[in-house]
Amino acid sequence: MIETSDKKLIYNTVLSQTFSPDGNYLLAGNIYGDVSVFDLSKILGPNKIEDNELQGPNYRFAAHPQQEIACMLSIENFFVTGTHGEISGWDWKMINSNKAPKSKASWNIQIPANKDSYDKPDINYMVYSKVDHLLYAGCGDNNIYIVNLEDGRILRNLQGHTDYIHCLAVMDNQLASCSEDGSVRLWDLRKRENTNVLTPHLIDKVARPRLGKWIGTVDFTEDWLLCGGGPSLSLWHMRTMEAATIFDLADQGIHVAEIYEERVIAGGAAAHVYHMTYQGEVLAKVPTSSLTVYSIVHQETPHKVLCAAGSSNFIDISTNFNYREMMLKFA
Amino acid sequence: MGKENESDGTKKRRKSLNTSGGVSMKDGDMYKIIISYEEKEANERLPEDDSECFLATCDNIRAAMNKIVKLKSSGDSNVKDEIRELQVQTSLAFVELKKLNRMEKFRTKCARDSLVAAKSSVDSKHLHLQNLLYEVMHLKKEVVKCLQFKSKDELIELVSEEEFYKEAPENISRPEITKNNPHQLRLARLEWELTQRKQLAALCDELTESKKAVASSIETKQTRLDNLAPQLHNTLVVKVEGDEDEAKRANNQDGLQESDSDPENQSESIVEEVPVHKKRHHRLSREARQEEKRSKLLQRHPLHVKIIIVLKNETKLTLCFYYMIYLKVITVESKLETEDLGGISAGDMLVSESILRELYPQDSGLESPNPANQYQLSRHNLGSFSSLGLGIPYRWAQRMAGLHFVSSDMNEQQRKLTSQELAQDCVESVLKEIKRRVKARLDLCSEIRHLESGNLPIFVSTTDPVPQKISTSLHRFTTMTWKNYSNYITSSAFCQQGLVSSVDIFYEAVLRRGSSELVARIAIKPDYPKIAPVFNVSISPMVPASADIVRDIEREVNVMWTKSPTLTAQIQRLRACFDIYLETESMAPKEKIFFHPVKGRTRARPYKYLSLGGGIFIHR
Repeated sequence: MIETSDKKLIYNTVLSQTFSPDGNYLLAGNIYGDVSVFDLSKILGPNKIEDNELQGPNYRFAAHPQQEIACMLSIENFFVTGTHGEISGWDWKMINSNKAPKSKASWNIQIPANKDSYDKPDINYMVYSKVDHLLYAGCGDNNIYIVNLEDGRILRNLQGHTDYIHCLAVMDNQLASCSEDGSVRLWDLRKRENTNVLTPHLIDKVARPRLGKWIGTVDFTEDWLLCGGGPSLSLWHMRTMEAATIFDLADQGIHVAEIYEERVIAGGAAAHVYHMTYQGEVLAKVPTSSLTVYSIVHQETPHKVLCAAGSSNFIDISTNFNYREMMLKFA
Repeated sequence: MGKENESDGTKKRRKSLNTSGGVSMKDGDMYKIIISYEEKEANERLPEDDSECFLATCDNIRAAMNKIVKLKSSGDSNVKDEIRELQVQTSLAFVELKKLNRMEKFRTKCARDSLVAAKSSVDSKHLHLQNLLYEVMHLKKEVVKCLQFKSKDELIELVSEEEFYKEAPENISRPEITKNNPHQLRLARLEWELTQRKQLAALCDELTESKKAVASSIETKQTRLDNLAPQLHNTLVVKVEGDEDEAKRANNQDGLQESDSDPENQSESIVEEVPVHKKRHHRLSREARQEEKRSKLLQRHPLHVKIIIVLKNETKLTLCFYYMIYLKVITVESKLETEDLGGISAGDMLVSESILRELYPQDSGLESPNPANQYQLSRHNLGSFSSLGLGIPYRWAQRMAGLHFVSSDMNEQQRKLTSQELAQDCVESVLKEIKRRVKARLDLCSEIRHLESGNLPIFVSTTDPVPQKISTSLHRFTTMTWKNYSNYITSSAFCQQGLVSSVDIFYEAVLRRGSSELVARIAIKPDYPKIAPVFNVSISPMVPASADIVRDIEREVNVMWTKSPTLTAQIQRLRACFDIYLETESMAPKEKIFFHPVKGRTRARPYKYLSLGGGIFIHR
């Protein structure tokens, strides 16, 4: 008979993934608060077990029971999880120790609750800037908090969005944020002020009113800004703030997209993860086991690998970015 | 009048001239003084006198006129002076006339004023009179009312006077006052009545209480008796039926003909272990006659054990256990009798096979538990066990009978119990399990009957609160077949994951809110309510909903429970979820209380219900 916990896994959704600094481990967090740890060298190595059996994690531990692990981040000595009102740091050393499933977070930072709301804000997305060594957390209370990880203090917050933050992207001294309110905002991190606002849902050729105005993902380079969500995935020129390419995908909402080495990788409520050129030419359509993809991570060394995960119990692994190599079981 | 004014003016001037030497006065004041003087004069003088005076003056004027006419006609020249004299006199007479006229006018005015004053006083008097009359009428009415008043006390039946004086205490009856004063007597009697009635009411309450207590004690005793009754009677009837002679005969022949290793010993022990602590000692045997091998192979022992489990008055489960002599397994034939439950689709669930299916995990009874059978059957081209109509060889029946077969289940093998122990251990627990299962199934039946008729029972669960105010309604609830179920594309995922199988019972529930429709295909597991039903949700294409929305609703309904939920609870939650989805998408007016329609990167909806205040919905 199927246990309730197994039944729960049928409805599992993986929201966050990250690699260890040495690139040998993949970590994934789900909506039930579990973190699964996969040993990539073992998974990608030649010693494969029977083909019909999907490989599971090395181990799995309940990091934040009953809470969504909405985002995960890897910094030098810790991996950081963002949950309900709390940012937690976990020592990478525990990954290898055999006590791992029982270990506790090394430190926690609480995000203050809004005065007139009884619950703590969710941490929906985190980015870490190597320029100023600060962590930026996009939260459910519409604010972006700037956290100093040296002492765990919240330095200040960036206000401007009128609904919760979906995603952040950081480069040099610029931060981009996108929100349920339908806007993308650019921030100058030295002055810590809002420099530009983009509202794709007001542009007819990008808007898709039946899917809503929310923007689920944002990424940018010096010249280009990529965003999508309810409105179509689109590439905007940074200086003119005009849509240069509108990607025509068979999706019901974009949840994750990024610009990587002159290509655009995007996923969401669609059957595939798309790899495209800036002009919208599809380079690869990688089928996914998730109904909706919420997280795509990739690395070049020591293992070239791209992992896509979302609303399923499986993580799709692609080693050459062009087709699906294998699937991993979250649990 | 102009003339008069003029003459007034001249007179005024004259008077002012007269008085100018003395006191200096203004013209207006002078005029007023003159008027007031003249008014005073008018009052003092009699009008009759004035009238005479007027007539006399008129006569004088007339006489003077005639004289003047005469004198003028005489044409005498020296009469001029005389005429002049007459003219002066006449003028003066005119002045007098004017004065008389003024005074008369003033008098007329005075008379009018007094008339008006008199009239108004008459009016007010009249009004006053009317008021008084009205008051009188009202008072008369009141008097009539008072006269007609009947006090309630007149209706009260009182004890007779003698009795009253005999029984009532002195402080109420007060004979020294009441003997003389009938009013006081009445009051006293009423007071006595009141006290008596109060006492009786209290007594009545007390008696009702005690009656209730007695009734409840009777009830508890009755239930105890009722509980006792089945134990006294037979909740469990065990019989051995069959042709005893034949069995004996078979037994004897068995002794002669048996050449196999040790089936006799085995079979003996088997029968003894058959789950009843009653008389039984029958030797099994093989029929002497050489029949066709097939029928021989499928031969049953002439005796069989019949167990009747009585659950309620009308509900009985009959189990017949047969021993297959050559196949060496126990098969079960069962029959469930229930009181008429009505409901069309409920019928299927009460088939005893369906109830006993998977009593224990994986024990479907489709295959014989004896591994040897498959070979035996295939050798005689007999097909699968289930197609032979021999009854169903459940594993639990073998265990009850103390038969032990090598099982594919490793755990079971490791438990090295002797067949004796195994049987003893089993019988009770298996029977308990069967009883539990039948009860659960009957409950499910009534639940489904409620659902089919469309009324959702309201219930309260402490572990998982369920909202009560829901706008989505259960439009239809009908049974469906496994074949229909497996035709849906989404069903295959459920089958692959082993959540749903052909032994489940399938229902289709259609939920509606306005024109929005949601269909749930429900698989109820044989072991319901231990294992929760599995909902397969689809939302009509009219309502835009991504696959993840459906998945989230399914998760909410299928998984997010602290305790295995009932079918009704799940449907209730499904209704709430559909409401929430429609309301967060603004496809329906917002009626539920929630703070944010969507939250987090998954854009999750607030499906979790908290019974805070009027009930609120929050995100998981």
